[in-house]
Amino acid sequence: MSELKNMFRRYVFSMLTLFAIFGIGWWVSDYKTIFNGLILGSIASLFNLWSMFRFAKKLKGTVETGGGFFTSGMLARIISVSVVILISLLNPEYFHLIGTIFGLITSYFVIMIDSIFVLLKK
Amino acid sequence: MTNLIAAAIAVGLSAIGAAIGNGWIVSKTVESMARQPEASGMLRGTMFIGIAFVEAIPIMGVVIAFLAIFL
Repeated sequence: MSELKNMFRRYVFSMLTLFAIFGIGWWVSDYKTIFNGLILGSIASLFNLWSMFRFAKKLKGTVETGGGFFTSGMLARIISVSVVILISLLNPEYFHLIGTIFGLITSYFVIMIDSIFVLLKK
Repeated sequence: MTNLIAAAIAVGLSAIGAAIGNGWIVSKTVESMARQPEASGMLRGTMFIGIAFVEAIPIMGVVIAFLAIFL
């Protein structure tokens, strides 16, 4: 398995673990709106991560064979974030805004922590 | 009106910065992959992390823009 695929697998596993933690938090605590926001933001964050992985995967084939490729890329990622923020802003009784923003940056935390672990292993 | 201008500046400038940054990252990666095809796996991994962090800026720009419009 390529290094990129391995990395992506680790990130998705960490994200799913976080989803489980958020789900438990939603179930156990009274802060339902915060955990709703966290889960909503994390879904968009996971989509962004997958979209970036797709781009990096396509790049290899293009370099080897030549030619070009098209991805919706950054536009799709920005639209997904816009939709999530709009949902959160228009339904404050269900989704906490700060929770949603923290959910959106979950994948960056995951990448940072994973990088630290990889560096420590080396 | 001023909040719309603030939103436009937040999204526009952050998107321009990210576009330039992403362009640099991908162009250098492709260049390195062409030079050393055996290192392409590692290079793509590094590029992936770089792109992820560069794109955090326009994403936060979009968030700030929506906050400027709606709040």
